[in-house]
Amino acid sequence: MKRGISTIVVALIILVIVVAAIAGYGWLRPTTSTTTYTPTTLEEKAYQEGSLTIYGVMDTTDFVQWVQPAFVAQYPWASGMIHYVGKSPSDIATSALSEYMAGHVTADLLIDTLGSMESALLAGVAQNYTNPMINLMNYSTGTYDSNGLWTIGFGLPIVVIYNTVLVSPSQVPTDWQNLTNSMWNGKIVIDSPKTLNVAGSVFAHLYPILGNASWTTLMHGIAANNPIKTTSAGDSFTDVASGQASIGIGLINDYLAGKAQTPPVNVSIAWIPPVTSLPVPCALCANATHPNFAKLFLNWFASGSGQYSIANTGRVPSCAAIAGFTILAGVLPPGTSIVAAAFNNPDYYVNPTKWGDTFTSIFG
Amino acid sequence: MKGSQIPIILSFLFLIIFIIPIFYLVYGSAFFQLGGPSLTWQTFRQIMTSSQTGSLLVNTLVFAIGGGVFATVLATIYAWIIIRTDVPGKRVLELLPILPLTMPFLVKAFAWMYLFSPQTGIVNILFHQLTGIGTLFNIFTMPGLIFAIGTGGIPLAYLTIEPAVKSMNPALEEASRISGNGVLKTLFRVTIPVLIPSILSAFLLLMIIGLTNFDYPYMLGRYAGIDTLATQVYYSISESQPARYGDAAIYSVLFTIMSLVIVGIYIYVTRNAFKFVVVTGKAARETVHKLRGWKYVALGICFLIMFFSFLLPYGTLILMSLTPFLSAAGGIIQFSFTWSNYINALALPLFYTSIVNSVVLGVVSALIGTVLAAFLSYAALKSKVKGARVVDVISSIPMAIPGIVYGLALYWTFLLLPVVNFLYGTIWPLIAALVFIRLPYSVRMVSGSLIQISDELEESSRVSGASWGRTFYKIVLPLMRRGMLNSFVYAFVNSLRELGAVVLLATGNSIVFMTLLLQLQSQHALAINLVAAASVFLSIFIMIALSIPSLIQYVSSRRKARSPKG
Repeated sequence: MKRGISTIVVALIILVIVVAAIAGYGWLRPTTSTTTYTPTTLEEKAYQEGSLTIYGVMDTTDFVQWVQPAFVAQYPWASGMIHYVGKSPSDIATSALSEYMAGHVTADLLIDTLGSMESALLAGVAQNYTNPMINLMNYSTGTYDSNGLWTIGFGLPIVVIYNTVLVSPSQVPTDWQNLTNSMWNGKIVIDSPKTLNVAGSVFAHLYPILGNASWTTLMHGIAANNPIKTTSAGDSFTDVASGQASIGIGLINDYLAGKAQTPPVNVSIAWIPPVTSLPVPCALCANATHPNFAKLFLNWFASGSGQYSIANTGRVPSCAAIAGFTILAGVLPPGTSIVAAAFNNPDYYVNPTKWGDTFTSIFG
Repeated sequence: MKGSQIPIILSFLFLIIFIIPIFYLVYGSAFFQLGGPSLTWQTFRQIMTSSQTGSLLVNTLVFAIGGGVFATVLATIYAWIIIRTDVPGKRVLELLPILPLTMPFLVKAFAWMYLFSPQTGIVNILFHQLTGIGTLFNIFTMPGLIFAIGTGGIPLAYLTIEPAVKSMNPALEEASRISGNGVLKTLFRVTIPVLIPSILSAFLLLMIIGLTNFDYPYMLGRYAGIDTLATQVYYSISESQPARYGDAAIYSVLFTIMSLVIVGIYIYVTRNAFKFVVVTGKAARETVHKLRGWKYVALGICFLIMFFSFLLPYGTLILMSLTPFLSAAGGIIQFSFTWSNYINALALPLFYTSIVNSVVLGVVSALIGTVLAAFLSYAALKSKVKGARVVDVISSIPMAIPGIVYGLALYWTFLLLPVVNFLYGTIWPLIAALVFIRLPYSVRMVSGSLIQISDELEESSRVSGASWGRTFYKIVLPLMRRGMLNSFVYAFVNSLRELGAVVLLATGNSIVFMTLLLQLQSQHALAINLVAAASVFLSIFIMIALSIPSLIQYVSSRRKARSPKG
């Protein structure tokens, strides 16, 4: 028996050593030590709370590389206190809602696409918060909720992405109708519209413009081309870049990241009117365990420093002035205006279930 | 209460604890609104009568049966060649089937996409460039999915068939050879018919694994529009907005009924399996067929099986991890070398957290599962209490509950059951999921050692005045240690590889390595090569874990050799 126990103990010790060796690399990495601390009321409370958990749709790598360091540069004591969990838009909504209903709210702050988050917001997962930066930075209507349920975040301009090896310049679509062309059969990739994310919001935006009959024909036409359905626009971009799909609906930030790679990926974009931007606001969780830290972050996120850090990730800040001369400079064709996706279709945000069902019946 | 009744009581307690989440699965879906539509009679009727449900059932069955047949046939050939023939390099060939276990199915799926995607797969592109003909093999088809699950299942099929090939009576084959039959005729007329029970058992086991598999249909099936019940449960929750828990519950029930039927057949087929394991004092001698020149053909066949099962996907994974991004659009393969994926993987903020969580999850769930398996095996095989045999059936029930379904059931339980809901968001729901879904396999491993222990040993101990507890601790437990160690390692390794059971339960605080990989792959553009690098770390880790039993065996044999005789 002793030998039996000792063998299991030896096995466990070896495992623990291996884990410790691997994990130790992370634990031993130097972190910025706590330095100057200037107390202010909100900052004081945030400091005392000592931790902030964010469920966000932004890539973890982008958040850690650009956003977090910018925040820590302003609040050095916050180093190591932010726990960012990158999730899909649907996962953020589902997790936040189930945690709220179960009375175990883990996240303090949500950064999610408005369409995906709407059903959770309607169920009460967020608490009202009026961000003081809205007036200070003179944010335009539409970048925040007038009732304070969601506040300043960023936008993601929606573009048609195509693989430059597989699609010749003459084939590049100039309107949405082109996606119904049978030459794209099996070659289109979109994030599943029923998740009410990128493709869902751009399609919903087209509804009031085209009217029910034309819109339905367009949707069925695209569905007839058997699009590959992914879980996110990032996934769609990967498929187009690898050549798995020829064309897709994607986001500008993925395109910019792909072009920055060495060697750059063979992907280009087409700005098809109406050019829309996916709103990605922030929401302060109801019953958040660190509400003051969350408020401090929200205020900073809407400030110049926060909005610049967003531009650094390749996303478009909600602050139009910063967006204009940073990320969109040289990318956006002159004279192109961008509007918030599906803001012309209030029903999309009020009845997410109905729109989810509609897209399910068309695209499966 | 007599001490010997403890295992029986524990078994029924286990059954009750296991069934509670199933109740909450239906209750939560029907009565608890989480923004989305709940379970109603109308939804039920709609789903049950839709053609989509029909195709889901067909896809799930075809995938499971196809994968089972593919893996079993190849594993039988492999086992026969290395045990019954004089193929060169036997020692190495015997070790190789374990290696594929180091690659989780999700990770293998990335490699298959890289190789056999019709548009961008390296093999297909090279084939097209060489021959001018279209695609050599399309992984995004049902045969492609069957190939993936089939090659992935070879190790388990081999481990199931190998003992039977080893222990079969050589006299039958010898008689056939003396009668003038050749090697192949003997194989088909004698060896295979004798092995039918274990081949059937391996096939059913693989079919159950295929039935409950989530990884391949999710990763490869979506490109072909092939959905199975496992992916549909996931899509209903994670890819619908708001989540459709009612639909998920209906698909889960359908899924469970289907699995129950297959598991029922499996239990029936293997009901006498242990009776075949007879340890006697008689020396067993294996028949080794002399293949002469054909032995190199046999070696080639074995190499080919292992090539597709491990070497090719693993090599591809390493290649992926060393490339910034692969594009093969228009037949132009772009390659360049980089270490940056490994550096970036190590710099991922959740990398260490997910590894630590995965290891804690693996160790704890494997320990609990193994101890529970020891009690259940004992109750099933050794208890003299009336009705003890039911325990064997009870311990097999979790096999019929697909991982993703049980994950959903536990999700509702930890959300709604007041006694446990403070554990929501921790690692404990994941531990519970892994303990239950792996238990049937652990029970079988522990039972394998327990069946060989004669009742006389226990009886002697009891006659000498030892209590049941002391007898169990001093006599039974030490003799079960090999089976328990195997069960621990198997459960640990599989908990590191498991995705289906944990995908709905992992939260920000309880993220594990597999869910991190899935998150990276699906959320980050161009992250597939980063995922490959992270996967290499995982596979190395699993290799270390798998080598532990052999290491222990080696150390203990060295110690035994060194100890003074007498």
